[in-house]
Formats: sequence, C-alpha cells, structure tokens
Amino acid sequence: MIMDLASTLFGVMASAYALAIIIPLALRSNYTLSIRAGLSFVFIASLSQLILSSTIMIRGSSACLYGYFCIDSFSALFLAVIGLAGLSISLYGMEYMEIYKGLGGAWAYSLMVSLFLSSMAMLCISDNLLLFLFFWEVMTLTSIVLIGWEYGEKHVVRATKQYLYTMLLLNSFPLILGVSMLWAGYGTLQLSSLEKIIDDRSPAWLLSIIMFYIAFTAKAGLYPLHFWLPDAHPAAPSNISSLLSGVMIKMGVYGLFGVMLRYLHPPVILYYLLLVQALLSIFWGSIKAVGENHAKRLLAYSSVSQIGYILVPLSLSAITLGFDRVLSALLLAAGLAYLFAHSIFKTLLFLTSGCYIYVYGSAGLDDVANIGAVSRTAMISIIVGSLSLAGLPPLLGYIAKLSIYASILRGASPLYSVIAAMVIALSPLTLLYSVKYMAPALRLVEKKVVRGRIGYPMRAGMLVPVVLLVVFGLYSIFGLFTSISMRFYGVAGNASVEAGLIHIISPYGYYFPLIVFASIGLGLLLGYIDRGKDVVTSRVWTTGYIIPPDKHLIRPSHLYIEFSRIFEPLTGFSHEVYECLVWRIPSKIVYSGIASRITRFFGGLNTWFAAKARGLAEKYSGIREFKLDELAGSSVVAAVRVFGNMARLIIVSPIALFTIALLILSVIILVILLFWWV
Amino acid sequence: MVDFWRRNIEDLGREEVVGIIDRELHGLYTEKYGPTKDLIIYLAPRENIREIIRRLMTFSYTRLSVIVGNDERYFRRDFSLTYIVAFDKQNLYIGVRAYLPEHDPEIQSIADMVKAAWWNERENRDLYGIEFVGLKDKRKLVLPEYWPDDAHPWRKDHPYNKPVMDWREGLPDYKPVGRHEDLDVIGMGPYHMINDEPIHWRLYVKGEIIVDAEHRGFHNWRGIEKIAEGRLTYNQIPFIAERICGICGFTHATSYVQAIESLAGIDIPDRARYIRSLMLEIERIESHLLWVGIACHILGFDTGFMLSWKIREHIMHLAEILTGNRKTYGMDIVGGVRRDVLGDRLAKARDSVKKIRYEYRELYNMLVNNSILVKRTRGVGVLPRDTAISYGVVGPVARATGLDIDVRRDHPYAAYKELSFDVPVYSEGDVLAITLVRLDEVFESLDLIEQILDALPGGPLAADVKGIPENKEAVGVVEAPRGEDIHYVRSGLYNKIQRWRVRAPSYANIPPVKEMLIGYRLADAPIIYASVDPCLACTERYLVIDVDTGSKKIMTDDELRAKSRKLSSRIG
Amino acid sequence: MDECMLRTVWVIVLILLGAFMAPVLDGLRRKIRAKVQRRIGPPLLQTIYDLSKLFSLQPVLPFKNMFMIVTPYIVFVSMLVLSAAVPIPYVPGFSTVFDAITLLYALLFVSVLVVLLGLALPNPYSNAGSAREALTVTVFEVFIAFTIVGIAYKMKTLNLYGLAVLYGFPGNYLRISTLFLSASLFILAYIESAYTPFDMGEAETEVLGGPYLEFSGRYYGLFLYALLLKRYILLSLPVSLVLVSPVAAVLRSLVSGPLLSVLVLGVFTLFLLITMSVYSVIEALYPRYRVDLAFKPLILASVIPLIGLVMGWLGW
Repeated sequence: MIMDLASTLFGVMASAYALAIIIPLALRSNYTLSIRAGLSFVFIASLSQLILSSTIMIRGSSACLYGYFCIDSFSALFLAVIGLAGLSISLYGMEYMEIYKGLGGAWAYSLMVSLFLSSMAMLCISDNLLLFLFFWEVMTLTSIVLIGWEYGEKHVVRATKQYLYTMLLLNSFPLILGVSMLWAGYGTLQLSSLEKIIDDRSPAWLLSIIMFYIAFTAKAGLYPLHFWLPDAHPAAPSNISSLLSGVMIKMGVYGLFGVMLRYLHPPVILYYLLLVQALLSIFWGSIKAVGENHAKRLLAYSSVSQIGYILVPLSLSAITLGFDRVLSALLLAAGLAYLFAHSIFKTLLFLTSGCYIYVYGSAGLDDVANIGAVSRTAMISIIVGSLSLAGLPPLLGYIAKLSIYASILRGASPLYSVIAAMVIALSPLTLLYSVKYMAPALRLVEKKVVRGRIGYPMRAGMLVPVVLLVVFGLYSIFGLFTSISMRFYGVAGNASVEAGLIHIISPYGYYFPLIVFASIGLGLLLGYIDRGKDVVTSRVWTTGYIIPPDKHLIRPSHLYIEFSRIFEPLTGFSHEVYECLVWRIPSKIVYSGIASRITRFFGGLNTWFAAKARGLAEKYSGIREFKLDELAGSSVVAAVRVFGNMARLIIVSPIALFTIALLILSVIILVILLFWWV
Repeated sequence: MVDFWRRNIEDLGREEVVGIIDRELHGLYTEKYGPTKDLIIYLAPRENIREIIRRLMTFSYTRLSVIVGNDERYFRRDFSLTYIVAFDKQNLYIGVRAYLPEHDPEIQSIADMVKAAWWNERENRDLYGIEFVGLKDKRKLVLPEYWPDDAHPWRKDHPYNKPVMDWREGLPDYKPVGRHEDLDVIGMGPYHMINDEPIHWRLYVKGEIIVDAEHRGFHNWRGIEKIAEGRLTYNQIPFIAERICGICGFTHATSYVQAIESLAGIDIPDRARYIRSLMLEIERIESHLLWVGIACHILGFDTGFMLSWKIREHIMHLAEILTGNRKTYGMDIVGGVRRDVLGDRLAKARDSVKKIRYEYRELYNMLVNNSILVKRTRGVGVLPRDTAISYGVVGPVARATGLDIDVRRDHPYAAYKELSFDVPVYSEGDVLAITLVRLDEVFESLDLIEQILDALPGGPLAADVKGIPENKEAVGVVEAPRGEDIHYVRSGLYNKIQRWRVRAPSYANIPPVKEMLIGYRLADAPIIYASVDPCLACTERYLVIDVDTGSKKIMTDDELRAKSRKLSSRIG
Repeated sequence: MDECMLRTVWVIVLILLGAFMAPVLDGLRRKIRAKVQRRIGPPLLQTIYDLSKLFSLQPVLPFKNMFMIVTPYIVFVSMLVLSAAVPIPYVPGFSTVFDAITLLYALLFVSVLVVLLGLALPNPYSNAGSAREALTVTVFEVFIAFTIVGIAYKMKTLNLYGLAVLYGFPGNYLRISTLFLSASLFILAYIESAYTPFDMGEAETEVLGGPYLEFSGRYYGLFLYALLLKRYILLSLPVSLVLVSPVAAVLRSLVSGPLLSVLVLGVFTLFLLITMSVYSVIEALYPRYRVDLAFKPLILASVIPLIGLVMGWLGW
C-alpha cells in the first residue's frame, strides 16, 4: 500500500518536474506566463514530494523504487526539506522573477530550477553511488547556471567563476575520484551492498573517505572550505539563494551522514575533525556576518555559521555512537531538528532579502527602511525569520536550538560541557547579526522605493515558512526527529531518548512557548485596546536643533563597527589568504594559462555557431533580427539557441573548460587505477 | 599654519624682551607707546599685521589672547583692531593695533596661522562688519543666523537699545560647513543631559566614533558690553560684570576693576588686595568642586557628584560667612573692596577650611583610586601641545598639556606676589591630566586661603579715587578657575567707558574641543567637552543669575541690604 | 484542592509578589544609594509613585505607530508572566515548567524587542544605546554559558524548580565548585541587570536613556516597570538558589505543606532585600564603563564559572 502510494506520488513528482521543463519551453514567447507555468509545476512537484516524504516519515516505513531509489525516513526528511523550500520559492518566484524580465530566458530558468530541485531530490534517494554522483553533478551544474543568472554583472561573473572553480576542484574531482576508488576496490557502487563488504580498511576505502569528506564539507560550506559561499549565494536571484542556502548546503550534510556514516563506516577521528570545523564555522560565519552590510551576504555568512550549528550535534552524535547509542540518537535528532528549522527560516530570510531588492532595488542594509509601510507580510516575515535565526522563543528556531543545548548537556563527560559552553557562548553573535538584518527594515524613516507593493505570490511564498515556524514552535515535532534518528541508528524504544532530554530540561520545556505566546497575545490585545488614542505626536528628539531626519541616526552599516574592528586583523588576513590561494593563483594559472586559449577557441566556435544560427534563421523564416525565442518552428535553431545559451552561461565562462579537463583527467585516473587494481 | 619653532625667551626679563621685539618688528610698525606698565601697543599698517603676529608667535610662551575691535570713528574716522598677545613669562601684554578705514574695513585673516584668531575674527566680523580676507569660516558667531548682514551692533552709531528686527521673524537656520555624506549626524545640545547651558555640538559619527565635530553657541548672547558702554558708570560696572557668570563672577569683577585701576594708576590698599585674593580662591575651590561633581555625574558616578557638591556646600557657606552671599559676592569696587571681612569670622573660616581639607582629601583619594574613573579619562580627548598653543588655551587645560602658565604667578595681581603656591602642571593633555590639575589646584587654593587668613593686613578697604583719566586704555587679567580672564577697557568721556571687551577663559578653551573630540567615541564626547569646564555664560557675556541669589534679584536695593544684614548677623 | 488549582494560586501569588517587589527593590536601591552618598533619599515607595505618575501622564511619541504602542505592552506582560517563573524552592509556579536556559532566553527575547525598537527609531542616541546593549549581551554570554553549563554539570538538571530544591542539599551545596558557581550567579544577576558600571545601554549622560529615549507617559512607564521586573527576576536567581535553597532544605525537615512554602517565600523576600542592599552599595561605588572598556572585564569574569565547571569535573 505504501509502495503504491509512494510510486504514485513519485510518478506525479517526476512528471511535474518534467512538465516544468517542457511547458515553459512551449510558452517561451511570453516571459511571465512561461515563468508562472513552469513554477506552478515545480509547486505541484514539491507538494507531491512533501506528501510522499511526510507519509514515509510519519509512518516510519521505507520504500524502494525501481531498484535504484530507496526512500527511508532519513532521506525523506531531506526530501521534505527540499519540498518545503520548493513550495515557497516556486510561489515567490512567480512574481519575483519579473525583476529579471530584461534578461529573458524564462524557459531556461524553469528548466534549471526544475533540474536543480529534482536532482537534489533524486540524489537523496538514490541507492547507487554512480546515480548519486550523476545527480550531484547535475545539481552543481544547474546551480552554476542559476548563480550566474545575472551574467551581465561583474560580481556575479566573478562569484560564478569562483563557485565553478571550487566545485570542480573540491567537489567533482574528489567525488569522481572517490567513487572510482570504491568501484576499483569493491566492484560495486550499490550502497546497500557496499555497506556489507566494506569492513576491510583498504587504501581505496581510506582515500575515498577522504575524498568524500572534502567534497561534502566543501558543499556544506564548512569553515576552511566555505569561501565560495558568501559570494555565490548572494549572486543568484533571491529565491535561488533560498534554495542554495536553505537546501543545497544540506546535501553536504546528507553526504556526510546519509552516505558516509551510514554506508562507508568512516573512522571516528574524521568526526572529531568535523566537530572542530563546525565550531570554527560557527565562530567565523558569525563574526563575518556581524561585519557585513549587504543583506544577502550577511545571510550567506550566517549560513556558514548555521551549518556549524547543524554539524556540531551531528558530529558529536557520530563520535558518541561507539559508546552511547541513545545519546547519539538524541544528538542526531537535535541536529536534524536544527537542519529542518534552518532550512525553513533561511529559505524565508533569503526570500525577505529578495523583498529588499524588489522594493528598494538594493539589498544594502543602508538602503532599506520601514518595509512595514509597503507590506506587512514582509515585515512579519522578517521579524519571524530573524527571531528564529537568533533562536529566540517562541519560534521553531528556539525549539531547535534548545534541543541542541539539551542534547549536548545530556552528555556526561567534560567534552560535552565544553562544546555546550562554546555553542551557548557563540549563539548571541547570531542575535547580533539577526538584529542587524532585521532592524533596518523596521526603521521608521523614508527611503526611495522602486516598487511600492508586494503581490500575492510573493506574500504566499513567504507565508508558508512563517506559518511553519510559528506552528512548529507551538507544537513541537521533536518526537518525529527522535524517531528518525533512532531508526537511523537502529535504537529501539522511543521513551529512552525522550527521557534523555527530560533528564536535563524541564519535562514541559517544549511547551513553554505557549506561555510566551500567550503573553505576547495578551500584550497585543492590550496594545490593541490602547491603540494610542490620546498619544500626541511630535518630532524625533534632536536635542533642540533641526537635523535632517535621514541623517539623524546611526546607519546599520556602522552599528557594530567597534565590535567588527576587534576581529579585523584576523578576518582581513585570512581574506587575503583566500584571495591568493583560491582565487588569484588559480585564476592566474588556469585562467590566463590554459583556459583563456580554450576559451578563445570556444568563443570563436560560439560566434561561428551564432552566425550559422543567424543564417539559418534568416533562411528559414526571413526574420532579420536574431530572436530565437520567436522561431518556434525551427528545432535546429532551438538546439543552437540552447547550445548558445548554455555556451554563454557555462562554456564560455572559461572554467567550465577546466571542468571538462578535470573530468577527462579523472577518467584517465580511473582507467589507470582499474588496470592497476585488476 | 605657522611652524611653532619657538624661540626660548623664558628666562629673559621684560626689558630685554621688549628690546628683542623692537628689533624683530623693526620697520613693520609705525609707532609704539605704553599706556600702562604691562601693556605696550605697536601701531602698524594693516598689511603688516599678519607678519607681526607671525613673528611674535615664534617666541616661547606667547599666545594670542584676544582681538579687540573698536569703533574710533569719533576720533579718527577709522575702526581699530588690537591683537593682544600675552608674554606669559615677562608679565607683559603686547598689543598690535591696525586702523581700518571706515569705508573699507578689510584686513588679512590670521585664523589659518593662529587658531586663536578664529572666533575673534568671526566675532569682529559680526559686530563691526570688518571683513577678514581669507577667513574660511564665514558663518555668524555671536549673532543669530537671521540677523541682517548690514546691521553691526557694536558700531557706535548703533545705540544699545535699538531694535534691529523682530526675533520672531525667522527660526535659526543653522548651516553646517561639514559635508560628510557617508557619516551620520548626532546633535548634542542645546538641550542635552550634559549641557547645563545651551550649546550645540554637531557630531559626525561613524558608528559611535566621532569623525568630525562642529560647534554653534552664543544662543544667550545679549551684548552686556554694549549695555555697559551705553549707560553704566565706572563703579556700576563691577556689579554687572560679576553677574556675567554665576560661577566665576568675582573674577570678572576683579578683572574689570583691575583694568580701571591700572589705567587710572590707582594703588589699592593691602587689605583690599588680600580680601580680593581670598574671595578669588574661595571662588576657585567652589568652581572646581562643581566641575568635579559634574564630571563624575557625566561618567555615571553619582556618589562622587554628591560628595563633591556636599563639600562645595561648605565653601559656599564659608563665602556666606565672609561676604553675606553664597555667590555673587558684590565686593569689588574701583579702588578696593566694598565690605570688610570681620575679625571674628576669620576663626570660623579657618575651621571651615580645615573641615573642607579633610573631606576633600577623602574625596580626592576616592576619585584618584577609582580604576574605572581613571580608565574612562586616561588617553581620552588628548589635546596636543602644538594645538593648544595655536588655540591659545588657558588655565587647567593649558597646564594639562604641559604649558606652565598661570596668571596668578605670571602676571601677579591682588596679593599673589606675597603668597606662595605651586602651579600643578601635567603633560599628557588628556582628560585625566585636566582633572588632576583641577584636583591639585583645590589643595593649593586651600593653602592660599590659610596663608591669607594668617597674613591678612589691616588698613583701609579702598583707595581714594580722584577721577578716571579720559581716553586711556588698559587690560586687567585674573586667573579665573578656568584660566586667564582678560578685560580690555578704554575709558571714554563723561565718566563712561568707551570700550569694554571681556574675554572669558572658555572663549579660548571651547574652540579646541572640536579637535579634542575627533577620533573618540560618542561615550567620551560629554566628558571631553566638559573637561574644558565650558562656561558659556562668560563666553557669551550674558547675565546669569545664580539660583541662590535669583530670588533676591527682584527685591529693591534696601530690602536686599536689610536681608543680607540680617543673614550676616545670623551667621555672625 | 487539586494540584492544578494549587499551581494556579502560586502563579498568581508569584506574579503579585513580583509586581510589588520589583518597584520596592528599586526604592530600596535608591534609598541605600542615597545613604552611601550621604543624602536622605526618596521614600521606599518612591518608584511606585513614579510609576503611577508616569501612567497618568499623556504620552508623546514621535510616530503614532502600532509597533511603538504594542511593544511596551508585550514587553511588560512577558516580564510579568516570567516573574511567575522565579525559582523558589517548594513554591511551584511556572518554575516547574521552565529551565534556566529558557528563562535567560525569554529575558533575552524581551531585551531584543527593546533593542529592535531602539534601532527602528531614527534617533542616533537610541540607536547607539541599543547597539551597546546588544553588544554587552553578546560579550557577557561567555560568562552565562559557563555558568549554565557548570550548573547543569553539577546539579544534573536545569529545571528551575528542581534547581531551587536541589541546590541547597548538603551534597550539592557544600562543595567548592558550588561556591564558584554561586559567586558567578551573583555576578550574572548584577551584570545582566545593567547596574552601574555596566549601564552603557541607557547611559543617561551619554545617550540620554538609549532605547527608551523617545518614549514617554505610560509607554515609558511600562518599559520601566518591565526593566524593574527583569532585575527582580535576575536577582531572584542567586538569592533563591544560593541563599534560600539551603534554608529551605533545613526548613523541610521541620515543617511541610503550604506552611513550608509560605515560610520559604518569607525567607526569599528577606534575602532579596538584603542582597539588593549589597548590590546598591556596590553600584554606588563605580562610574560607568565605556563599551569597549567593558569587554575585557566581562570576558575575564568568566574565569569564575570556568573554575566552578572544572572543579565540578573533578568532583569537588
């Protein structure tokens, strides 16, 4: 019965994703219609995905489809995360993408979003490493295109290139290498069968573990390998940034736990390393976010720190696994709860930063003000999202954070106390930057407004996560995560894990948000009764002189200037190091050395193709202007157009060539290794 | 700005220095005369003024004290400008005077070279319509923004009671010169917690860090000098002079009467000299304790505030015992003092000083040993020595930057020549140094009071004043609690003065605050500003009636006298 | 009377106690500070008179904005409700369902609302005050973290009621680690309440009251009351755990039932007044820190709970 339902929903999901590719292509002459049609199908796909995953999570069963795809409750959680984000961003994008109307290519956008979401969904459920690798690469490539969507902007091009470099060097290459090692070593890539035969600790196993570790932590944006993230996430359109920060970096977490921990039995020392990296990530991301003055960059740095919060309990859980499975399950549940919460509120926050861009034309924190006058929904979303981010009661963010503290404090040895102290001590940095993100939007001053209104699709897109944050804050779903984690580790008995929490935190601790909610409600009621009927308004107090109100404040970018200054030597130095190691040197060697020549060649090729295409176009329809979208009939031209578009977006951006070079390289290594081993 | 490579003339006597100056200025001036023994005036063509000032400022321990404008059109159809330069180690004031023709009152600005001229030039521009070529800051200083540009109230053809315009016609439209697009603006005052008197500071900040600052004051400027010139006689002025300020009023009165005595050549009796010194020192202690209290309050240390003001209460009681008034003693007249200090009250005064010394030492230890207080003031609001010289700062602020100047010692007056005291000097130039100078000075003042009480000579209270010579000029200087208080007086016809220029110490000390603020935090701004002990009432020459005497002001003279007699008898 | 009813009664009693004690403690603070400064000082109930005056005044606000009107009420009501969560042994209010982290985070939530309001107003003074408050909270969190973790490690619970009862048991109380943790609790309450060296956020002579600058009348009254309640709640943490808990542990063997609760409540009130007197004397002796100067002592102070934590590991 569950199989039937699962395969039906899976079918609906897959066909909706496919339709999201095809229908916009048919409607490509009308940008708005095309976007809306495409995103509607994405919405349907996400919805069915959500139903599928929640069914599996709640029932606690697992389903295997077509032999290669297995959905258990752990994967289903990730599916649910993707589905929830998909719901919001598809609704939101219907209106938001109007900003990018000038760039055209609605069908390409739908194509990319659909591919991006579906590839993430598929890699979470694929049981075969080759499939996993394939979907992983599709995810990376589509995200490259989406990040580079505003290809005219210089910073976007730079961010895209940097992302591309990083993903090739630290993602594709190690992953391919690792997979080929495993294939060479064990002769199978089926994960469920790998798990059984992988107990001998061969060099192939070790190397593949290391390679996977590099790839997954780089994707997760963990501390030393996070450098691509703060540039790449803000470069994309806001709803895509939501996906990148809300969902894509969690694929790294899935890789680390859903693939590595579950099937490959990595050594524990790796998770100690992960723990250290996660703590560094928390610190570094928070510090940088506090100093950041661009809303989306701030959120991107916040993602670096939040992934640390997710990975601290998760890595502790892997460490604990050897001697206390109940505690381990508890820690895993806490980590997953935080992952779930972070995905929801980070999706929401990036959507609200999109509101900044939509309304004020800029996401600079100094340019936004009083968003409540434009849209109350946006204001509420910003407040709810930021408070969740800061982990303040009574929202879901608080519940998740409390789970982390409670589960770590449950541990009996000093290690846990130290980790808990560090996590608690670092958490108000989050408060600092979430206030910095939220306060400018609430400032009661006038600022230039580009669009005076936010429409229903965007509001609906933001309301989905808002409602979830409030509802899950009121009604704790921590039990769901404990059941997932216990099934993940094969621990029996729900009660013992719950008892672990009770041991340190109040028995009703999770229901206390009700009290806070009630007092907030009472306060609202009193305020509503008051309504300020007898209030006299007067000017802001400027100590006796008339000072222009737009100058008479401390602008957000200057708020914590003294605090940021303390860490300036540290951040400045490491910024230089990154610039040098990751960007300048590779770009000198690779870009100006090899890639530029190939680029020139491909650029020439592209020009040639374009000229051919123009010729074809003129030949077939007599239209002088080269507008491929209007040439519905010519499939050849459409193919060339696709190629041209892709070439412009991907291949012409020179590093793609580097990818190809690396792919070839890794295939060669693979072949050599095969021979060597066999 | 002038390069302050300064020639050391500290050890030279007055005659030698005058000789050096004569040689130095040879050919630049046309005439030289000395109206009094400590004031020498050089007349010079206006083109040479800048060069003369530049040369005078190359000596050590010289500073531009004040620029006095005067309307001499009744004598020679000209305006005059007198640049008074103080030679602190020679007890000498050099005045450099230029005459500017009535139809073309124009002179080269020196504000870029000597910062002390900055406010003086703006003031003369406002009041006489003298145009300073090269003066960058052409905003109004003392007059309100909406004052018409062609009305200059200090000109003699502008009577003191002539209304120029209805003040309600326009609101002040303050135009800041600073254009800092990437900075935020914080207005500090005129109604701010720390401002006991109205002043407007406009801070340009980056976060909490001050990048630039602007000042706008003189909200209470009422033209007391013009009133004095217009309708008061020589002997009435000490009483209005004392009401210029509620804190250091007696220094103003003393300064004025000293100027008159100097130009009339009057030698005042010893007892009067000692009584003046006594009252001046009492006033200094009272003022410093007030400042200490306010500084503590600004730093959030209310206990220090309360204790300091408690001691201040003793000193005010002491003043009441001696003069009948807690403040605004009303003691000075031309030629001496008005009221004697009765013998039976001296013993009380001695007890009182002992008590104050004991309590003050406790307070002193408490403040100096308070680590947070020291942390909050050390290295804050540093005034570099060169800047201090250029702005011509005086008093504790100057002594905190290492400038060893004190009018009591350098230009002795009253009884200070016969008394011994130390002048505390620190070199850091920060708020802590300024605070320590003030704290130390209180001990010195207590010593001085004891010395005076011991050595108080007998004799008459006032000299016989035969009459004030007409059309003579002199300066009177007194070390006020905040520094050198200089009064320039020129006598006129019919028992009235022709020109009276009051330069209170805060007039020299407030302009450099702008530079002291830059680079520090919003949290430091109040204490930096307060560190110069800004006395706006003096600076703006406005009548401030102290709260304690305010109610008495509306009484008739007789009632007042009766009341003070009654009070005195109760105390006695 | 069933347990639910009993608890409801206690919640109401605790709220009433908080609502009364918060201004009285402030009155005591003012009185004692006046004594240190050799003044007579206002009467003990002066803060109540002040509040009633504020509530009767007509408010003047720069904007007639619902955000500005509603927030004071939310802040006040939340604080009032939280005052039912003060941990007093054998007085089961909300403390049975609250844990220490939750309480501190709930207080933080209320501070954040105030900070947010201060940042939303176009006034650099309230902006600066709010930013300072946020910074102080951030830096001080290191101290709070060590204290919480130390207590959790030592007492094996963070439930406020459980803590209040367990803290005073001889096995827990008569330990060196507990000594350090108790000291840190007192420091925590002092600094988090923003008494004088740490009142940078609303420094009147510098930033004119910070976030509260633009509020007047009953809105300022609500904020003020909420601030006093916050101080009361914070003060009750060390008072009840360190001072009342061992007394209650002794009392428990003598009496039981509601009488025990009432007695403990009386002891609590007494210790509250004594502790407040000590705090007031300390407060009167220091000037205010500047934010950047305060960082160092705030961080350095965390050595005390750290020692407590380490001693807890060693089992001392």
